[in-house]
Amino acid sequence: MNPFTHNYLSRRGFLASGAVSVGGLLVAVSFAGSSQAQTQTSSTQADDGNAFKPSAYIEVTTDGIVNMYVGKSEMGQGIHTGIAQLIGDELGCAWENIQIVQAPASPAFGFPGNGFMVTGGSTSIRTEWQRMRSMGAAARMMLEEAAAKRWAVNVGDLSTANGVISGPTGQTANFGELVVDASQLDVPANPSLKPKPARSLIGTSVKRLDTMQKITGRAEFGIDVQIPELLTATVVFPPQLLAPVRSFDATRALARPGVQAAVAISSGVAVIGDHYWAVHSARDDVSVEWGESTFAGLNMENLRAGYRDALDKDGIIAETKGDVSAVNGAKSVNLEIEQPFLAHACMEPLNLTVAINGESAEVWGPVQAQSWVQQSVGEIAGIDPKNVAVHTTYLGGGFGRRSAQDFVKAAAEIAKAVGKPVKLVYSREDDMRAAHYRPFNLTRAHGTLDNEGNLLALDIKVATPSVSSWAGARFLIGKDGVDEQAVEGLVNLPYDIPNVRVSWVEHDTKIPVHFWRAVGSSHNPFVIESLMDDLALDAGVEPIAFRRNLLRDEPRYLAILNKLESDAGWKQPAPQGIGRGIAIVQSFGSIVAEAVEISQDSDDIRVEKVFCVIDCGIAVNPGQIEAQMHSSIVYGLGALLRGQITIDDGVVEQSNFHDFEPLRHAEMPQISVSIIEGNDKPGGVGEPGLPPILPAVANALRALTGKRTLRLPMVG
Amino acid sequence: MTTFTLNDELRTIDGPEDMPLLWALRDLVELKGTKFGCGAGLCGACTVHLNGEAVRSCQTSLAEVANGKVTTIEFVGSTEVGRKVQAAWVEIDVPQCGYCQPGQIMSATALLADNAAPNAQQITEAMSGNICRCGTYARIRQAIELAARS
Repeated sequence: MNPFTHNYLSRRGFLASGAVSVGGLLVAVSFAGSSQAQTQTSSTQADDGNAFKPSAYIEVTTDGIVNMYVGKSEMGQGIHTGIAQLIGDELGCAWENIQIVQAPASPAFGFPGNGFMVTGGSTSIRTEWQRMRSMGAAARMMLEEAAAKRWAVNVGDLSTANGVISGPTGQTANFGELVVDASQLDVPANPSLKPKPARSLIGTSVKRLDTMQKITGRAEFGIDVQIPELLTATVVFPPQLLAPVRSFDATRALARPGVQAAVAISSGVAVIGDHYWAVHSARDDVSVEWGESTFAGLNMENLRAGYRDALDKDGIIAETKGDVSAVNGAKSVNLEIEQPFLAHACMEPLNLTVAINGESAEVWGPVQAQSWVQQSVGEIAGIDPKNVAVHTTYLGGGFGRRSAQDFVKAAAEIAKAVGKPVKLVYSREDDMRAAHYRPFNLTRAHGTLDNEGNLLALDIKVATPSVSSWAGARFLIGKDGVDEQAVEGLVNLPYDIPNVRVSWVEHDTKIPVHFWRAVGSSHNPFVIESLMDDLALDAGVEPIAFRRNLLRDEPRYLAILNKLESDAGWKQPAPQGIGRGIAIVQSFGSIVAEAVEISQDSDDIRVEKVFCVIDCGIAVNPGQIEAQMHSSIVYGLGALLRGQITIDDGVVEQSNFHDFEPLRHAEMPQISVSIIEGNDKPGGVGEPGLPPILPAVANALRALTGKRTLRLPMVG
Repeated sequence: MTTFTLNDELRTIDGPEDMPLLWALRDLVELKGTKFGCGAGLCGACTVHLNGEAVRSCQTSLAEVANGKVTTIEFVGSTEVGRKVQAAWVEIDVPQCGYCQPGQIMSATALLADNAAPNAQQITEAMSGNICRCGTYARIRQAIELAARS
């Protein structure tokens, strides 16, 4: 069972999570004023003891404020706003009365069904789609029942909108007036949900609830956490990856003003003091004798050789259909494609605040996996993970990185060693060199056409480590031993191909790897969609038409391709000096196709235009879907054009934004986004925009220059 | 001891003269809206105004701001241009994670205070020192154009 992709909603889940009490834990969560400006005054008077709390997720106060407790980490994807739309649509509250409260670590805020608390895999709207609407509906039904009793009318004769319930003969009551009565009622067992035409918030581009804080400097990120007696720590990490500390001398560092302690931890030497500048500027005054790094001597040349050797081995078969070895085609295309390690490089450097107090501990900061944080800190503190309170702040970007535990463990070790609350802050260089990268991968892809240009067979073998093993997410590894993150985007392709074989060679350099935006789909579709384009060329068929033929029984894909063809003006010839390319990829429950126009000046590639079409099923917030498409495209282009982490003698060669440079304003293409709306359920949107952008650009370069990109980054 | 005007108030800060303004603001004055991104003047997250000009506070020492006038994200909304820029940011729904946005807003405000009607190229030049990993660049541009019109 996979909590990242299963759509849980059971009656049991609803009742169990609805019954969890979270009261006492919430006091320390300092998100007062976390909604729009106009709600901030009233929010300070939120709980007068009479609030109506029909579930762990909703609290309506006597003044009509609706506090929504959201366990998902807000890292830019707009999930706080999205959850508010799901609840609010059914609850019928006034949008401006919604107040988001970041929920504590508790199974109630984990995945429905297993209580595991993590934000990632573009799962949040998918897994909360039923539960949050049900919670909103149940709360509304109780408020309506209270009104019906008060007015002695039938519930069916009431209507609810904007936080006001109206009766059949002109009666009206605000939510706030009904909370005391509603609190006496039973939570309805089986709330019915609105049909699509009756929805008022879902499907609209309401504005984000966190904007006012984020444009005034008031939003609290992990790095901003301030609590009494807080110390700040930095860690001197080894130059060669993961080398152990043999001994250190911090005498000179400790003589500096504001420096209070220096301790060895598993990953380096921590310098602890009054504030960041005090400890940061003391780093050079710590001399460390490092032990042997297991990565000594590792460089890109021998790393590449290791991958090539790995690909000569038999892998585990992840998918097989027909018999690829029996195919006798007329033409074939063979590609061997290499893609690099990538850092996440979130704008907010890694950081965490930890306080360990005997049998309990508290954590404040930007984390994606609260359940893992509880385990990590519990282990180091020697306490029950349940006694680790996690106060999630805003995340200055996440992209998967903040579900890794390296920085959590480091912060907990330091807090334990000094016996006081400590905020560990990474420098940008520390953050860039702390590994947990998107894995380096090498893939061989073989496609076979018959005489008429029909695609007979695909034979793909990828060498890459198991990200799921590294992350401790073994539930993502199937019974056959295949890590689905390693082969996603290679298996279960929508294309109608009679013979398919996909195999995976687990090749692990021991350099820590982790989830990176779109995970396996950040690299596997690059291979498939590059191959598809070369096959189309060999078949003498235009790339959209070639794919359309292989997708002839897939109406959602066909609709997307048709829309893309028209948006991109594909039937007109490309302008002079412009190369055009496309790609289409399903990932995280959504399908995205992108077409690009590029130009080339000496070796510099400029992406001029991107046309993006997404079918994410129900589009909860089109404005935020557009934002996530932009986000994934920009993140993907930065990686594609020049993103790479390289290793020389066990040392990471990149350090900051000059040698790992994201896309900048000056390079921003024109992006247009079209959304094809579906009816059944929502798909993910935080990641699916990324996979197609990389091959679309490579295909455009092929069209422009005839050159197939076999190694990323494209420009370097 | 360094004395300067911070957000319209005369302040004396007790910190080493070589301490970057960024860390003095964040850790000595407790104004945490100005963000640490790279510590090397590469990303623009720490942008503030010094005597009306956008500067990277991670590359500006306390000594350099002595007797100067510093404005941060917490106060920029009290200026006419800053208010318009923030209003445009709301209207266009710009931020995602929001971490780089104080710096983006400070750069945009300095641009518009200096040039009320920048052309596309001038916007690009003024903003290309500010990195956004969430890719809000298109909306930032729209918001700057909106603020310039309003």
